[in-house]
Amino acid sequence: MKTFFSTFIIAFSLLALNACVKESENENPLPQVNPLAGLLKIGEANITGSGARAVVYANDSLTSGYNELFVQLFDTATGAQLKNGHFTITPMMDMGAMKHSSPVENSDNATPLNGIFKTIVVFSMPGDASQWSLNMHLHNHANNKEGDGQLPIAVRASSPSRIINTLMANDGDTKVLISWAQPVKPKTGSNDFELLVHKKESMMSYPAVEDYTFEIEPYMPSMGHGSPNNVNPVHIEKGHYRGKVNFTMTGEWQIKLKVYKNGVLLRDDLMFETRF
Amino acid sequence: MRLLLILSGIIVFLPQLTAQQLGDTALRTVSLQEVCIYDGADSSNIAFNFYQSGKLAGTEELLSRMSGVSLIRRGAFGMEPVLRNYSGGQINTTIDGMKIYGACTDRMDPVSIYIEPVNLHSIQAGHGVGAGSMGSTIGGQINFQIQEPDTSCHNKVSGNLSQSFATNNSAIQSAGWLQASGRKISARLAGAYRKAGNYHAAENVEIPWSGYEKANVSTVVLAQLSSSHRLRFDVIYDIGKNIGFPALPMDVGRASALIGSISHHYVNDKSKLQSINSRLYGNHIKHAMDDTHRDSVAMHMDMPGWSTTWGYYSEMKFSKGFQIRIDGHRVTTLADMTMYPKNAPIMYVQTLPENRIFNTGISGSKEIRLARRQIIRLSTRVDYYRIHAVQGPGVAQWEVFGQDITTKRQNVLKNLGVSWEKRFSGAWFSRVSAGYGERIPTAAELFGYYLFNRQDQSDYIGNYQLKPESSWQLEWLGRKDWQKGLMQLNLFAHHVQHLIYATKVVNAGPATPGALGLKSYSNIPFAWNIGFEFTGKYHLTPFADYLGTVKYLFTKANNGEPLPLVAPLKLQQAVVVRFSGFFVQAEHDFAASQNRVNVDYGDRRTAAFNLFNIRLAKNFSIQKTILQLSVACENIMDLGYREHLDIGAIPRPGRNFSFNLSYRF
Repeated sequence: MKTFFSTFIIAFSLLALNACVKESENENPLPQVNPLAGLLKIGEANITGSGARAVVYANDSLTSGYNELFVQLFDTATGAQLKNGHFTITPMMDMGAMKHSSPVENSDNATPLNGIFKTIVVFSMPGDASQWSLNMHLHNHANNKEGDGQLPIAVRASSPSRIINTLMANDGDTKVLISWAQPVKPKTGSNDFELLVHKKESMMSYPAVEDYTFEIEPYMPSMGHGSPNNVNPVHIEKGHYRGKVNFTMTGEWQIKLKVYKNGVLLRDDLMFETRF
Repeated sequence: MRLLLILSGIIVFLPQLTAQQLGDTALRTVSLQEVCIYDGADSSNIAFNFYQSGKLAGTEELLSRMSGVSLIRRGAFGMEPVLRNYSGGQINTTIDGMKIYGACTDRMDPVSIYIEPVNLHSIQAGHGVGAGSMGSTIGGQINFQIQEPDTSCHNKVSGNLSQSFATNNSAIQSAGWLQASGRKISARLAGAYRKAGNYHAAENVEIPWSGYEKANVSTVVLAQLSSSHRLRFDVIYDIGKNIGFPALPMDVGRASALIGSISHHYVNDKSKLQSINSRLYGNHIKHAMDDTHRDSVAMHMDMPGWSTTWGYYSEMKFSKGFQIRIDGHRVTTLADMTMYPKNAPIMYVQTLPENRIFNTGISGSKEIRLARRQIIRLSTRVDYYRIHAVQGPGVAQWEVFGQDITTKRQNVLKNLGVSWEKRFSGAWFSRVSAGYGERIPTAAELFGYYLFNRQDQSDYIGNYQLKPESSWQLEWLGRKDWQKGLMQLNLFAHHVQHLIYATKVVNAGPATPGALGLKSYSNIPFAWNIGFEFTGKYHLTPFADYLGTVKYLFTKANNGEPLPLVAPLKLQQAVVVRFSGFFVQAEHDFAASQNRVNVDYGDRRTAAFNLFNIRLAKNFSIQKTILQLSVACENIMDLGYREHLDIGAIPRPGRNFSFNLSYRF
């Protein structure tokens, strides 16, 4: 019977031990070695006159609304990467009868980390490669030459739309573009929320709007409820407004927006939609 | 005059019930061999023995008639036991001391549903802190004991088959057990199958979604290794299908439970260590709520839940009234909800984020016998709990409230009980007990995520920062025995601190369409639970016995409001008559009206009612076998009524006739 007892005792101890085993923690992802890992190549084009060729990457295929572009430059003769220069992009839409640009945020930094030039482009509408192009300009500090290049690109319609293109009647009939920057892929839980706001001054000029205030309200239309503890986005810089948006479950969500300027309500009927 | 006294149900005298008079086995009284170390167990068992003797009552029926026990009713099936007004995590509900956690966030699957009368040996209900030998509690514990096979010095096979039919809900119930007894090995196999349609309230009003279908199979194998060592294997498998819950917005599509254990029993009366009872157990519950049978569903949703528990216990009984129990368990629970809106993507939420509770505890009790028939009992229990959520969508959901529910929370719970009892001359008995106890918040109270409560039409979210509930308790039990009966009164006053109570959240709204608000749990400073239970038994004639019980409870939170779901004063009485193979049991229940209601919780006032049932049985002996035919009429007056603890104010069944044929061999 002694053995019997010991079996029981061992069994109990095993159970107790097992209960004490630490659950494996989430391992930290390894530091990224390739700065372009996970990015999608959009295309490449010579920047004529600067002796450089630009290779353009993005997080995903380009869509109407907020897009981040990552550009590497190479010497057309040697193929060596160029890491010093002033590089800008101007998006251009050719509608045949007329042309217009779109909001863009270029970096002033001539020596970005890893030689990757980052530009934020807000495409105001979808269009194919015969319509949209990226007009690139480079002052190549390696040879002190300047030049321009053009890369035709296709811009899909974001669905649901990530851009609101509207008229602010109470703000002097300003044409305003509100693009939903973050989160790109919303998830259940708390998400950093970012909007980018520009106004259309002319066909070619889209300056940032820095004096708006927002109230947000996430809402599930099929359930009729929202979510608690959201943080209204406030202006940080260059038309970027940051806050927090909370999603309590997966499904279809609306983010209802109220837009104010100097305490005056401009609009309360705007919203973004997302499905995840 | 005597009749009047009986009907008053309060004053009852005279001698001990001799239930074995019939001498047959089908109507035998189950005599409880267990030494119940906790308070009130004896008073509960008076009622249990009385009603169990007829074998005419289901598990829930038996429970509802026990001292200080009530049931929360959500449907025709799966009623949740309440001890005084303690329920859920405030009480321990166990099967043979095994912890089982429900997988349903709406508490549709209380442990009691896994036990059928064919595999039930006894129900032990103990009230208060002192009853918490199997786990820290403030409300007490209910333990369902599984029927073991009989051992026999020569090999013997016996069994029982029964078939019943009820008119009200066209319910059929087939049950049976088969037992092989031997000297070394004995085994018992029991099974029950029930299928019921919708039941009808008074005046034949059909209550939709109240039908159910359920099967239960269980087996116990005993191996007598030597005179002092015994091994036992237990398995219960229970499956339910399309169980209707008219009081809730959803039904149970499919629910299953697998409960198993291996236990070892050691006895040696001569040594200091008289017995060791050890068990390793595991159980897995799966519960899937479903609304596909409801016609007014705006959006279809699935709400499954799972719970898996592993545990052990070892109870050691020493000479001189000293006992120790060590035990531990770990449980993983998860419940989620997937909604399928039209023309929109599915919505997924973990209503109970996947979480683990790990517990280990030790309890001890000591009985000190003093001169002049006095006994002092000391009992104590210490529990260690570690609780946390498992990485997943549920954890992300809680980010919304700024909570990291993967942080491990640890609690040490302390329980202490002391009682003094004395037998006075003239068969008077008195016991005073006092205790302090704590209980751990439940997973739903900690992690629950927008769980809809039908009663107050609110969504509930948990609070991971909850403190354990604690309680100081004082009880007095007085009893007088006569040759022809007994009378017992139990008075109690419980002061509960840090009571876990749901209040409205002001800065957030509900998620369920149509819900009125969002509530969350917090610890409110205190509440009082004060009440009494009275039991009287009287041997009327050589053929007839009377039993009456009265229970009453008064509750008050620190803000002066009554607590939710408190049953009103209730009298339950019955007369049993036995003669020449006949058995007649006439029952009368009276519930007073309940006007002290917690409006915030959605309690409604409930009217008083008088309910009458009658049960008749006749035994026929055929050679060595017994055939029992029984007929019952419940709610004879076809009364339209509901009890206060019935969720959703759904009326109870109207008149019902049931017929049962049972054959024992």
